[in-house]
Amino acid sequence: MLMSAPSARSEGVASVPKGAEISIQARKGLWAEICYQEVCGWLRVTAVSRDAANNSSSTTSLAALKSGREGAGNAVSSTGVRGLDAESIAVDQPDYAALAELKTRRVTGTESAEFAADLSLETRTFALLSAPEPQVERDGAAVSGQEDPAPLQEDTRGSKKKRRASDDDW
Amino acid sequence: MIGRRSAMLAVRSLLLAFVATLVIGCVAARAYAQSEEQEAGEKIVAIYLGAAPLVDDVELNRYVSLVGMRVADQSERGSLEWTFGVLDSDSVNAFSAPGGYVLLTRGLLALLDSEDELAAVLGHEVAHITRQHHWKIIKQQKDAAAIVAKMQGNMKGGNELFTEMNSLFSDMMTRGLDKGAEFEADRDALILAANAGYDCSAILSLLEKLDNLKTDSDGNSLLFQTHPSPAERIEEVISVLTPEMDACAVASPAAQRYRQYVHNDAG
Repeated sequence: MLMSAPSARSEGVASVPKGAEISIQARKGLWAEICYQEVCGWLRVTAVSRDAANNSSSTTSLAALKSGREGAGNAVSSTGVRGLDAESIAVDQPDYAALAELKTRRVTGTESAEFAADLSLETRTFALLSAPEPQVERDGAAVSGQEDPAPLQEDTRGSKKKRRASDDDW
Repeated sequence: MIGRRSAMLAVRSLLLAFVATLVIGCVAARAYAQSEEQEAGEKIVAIYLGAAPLVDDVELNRYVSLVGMRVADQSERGSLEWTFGVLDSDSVNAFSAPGGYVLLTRGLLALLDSEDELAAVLGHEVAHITRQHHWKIIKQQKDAAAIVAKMQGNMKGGNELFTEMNSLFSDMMTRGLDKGAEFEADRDALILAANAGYDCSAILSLLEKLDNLKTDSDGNSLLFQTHPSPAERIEEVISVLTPEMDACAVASPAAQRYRQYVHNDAG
């Protein structure tokens, strides 16, 4: 999707099919202003080749396609506008600077516990579930809810409406 | 007499030293294995981050991390160095990598309605890590590559092996795991979220939302390419539910907090 501004939160103005020929007008941050079939807008630079994004002249020759196919002449292809598909995973260079940034965003267990306590999240002790088995054996599957389920069953009856049609089998 | 006692003391000291060496050796081997796992995870995460940047919104990332840690704390591997990130992508998807790395997209956050659903997503990814779904495949391939290299008289240089591993990573990332691993992660997600205090039925509303997505849209093709269909996953989850779970199928007090943190940001 071509966006009206260099932001994913801007409005979409047109869709650009994978492999479409586009021309690059400018680059701002991680976004490239491109035109496709008379419509101009913004795409992530990860959706166009690095060579193309670095090319300072507008609407001129553009380089290798992001898809890995070599661009002939002035064409450049988009790789799907959202930048996170199988192709970009296979082709894009790993970003170790972003990995370092990610590590700075870690939180501690204590911070997390305090955050949970803010809203009194109840800690439960259900055991992990095994793969489904034939009905007869499944009825005997062990799930160790510690709480007395009776009053809660009453309380949650209304929420069953949100579940699927097979509620009665639960 | 004294000589005999000295000899006994010496033997005892030797035994103690032997046991200590064993213990230290085991701890060191475990730490080495864990760091090896984390190293592979970091390479995979760097590949994802090359394909989509992290969101600039540090507060949003922190919110997801706080919920993620709460869920991960319920797992058998709560002591891992868990790391959660939000990718600035409209695609709907979430990823995990060995060693405690979980990434999810802004597009997925926008799709969800509550912290309960977020906990279900995070539980699914945490389960892939605690069950070592990706790591087992990598380890197997690594061992096989090492054997081949040995058989070839170490003809392959480190760079070639490194390239092979990178190619394995991206293959695994774009082809996904087998269905059984995905179903197992869904089952664990239900329990991890429940034990963290969240609504255990949120995994169903999450899968229902995925079921309503268009499978052929560019942004979501990877999700459907790497997972069984949401309808199939719903069936699998339903098949393991028990009446006791009524106790956790209730919206958590945190359900609404999600709107404040995410939908304000996501517009």
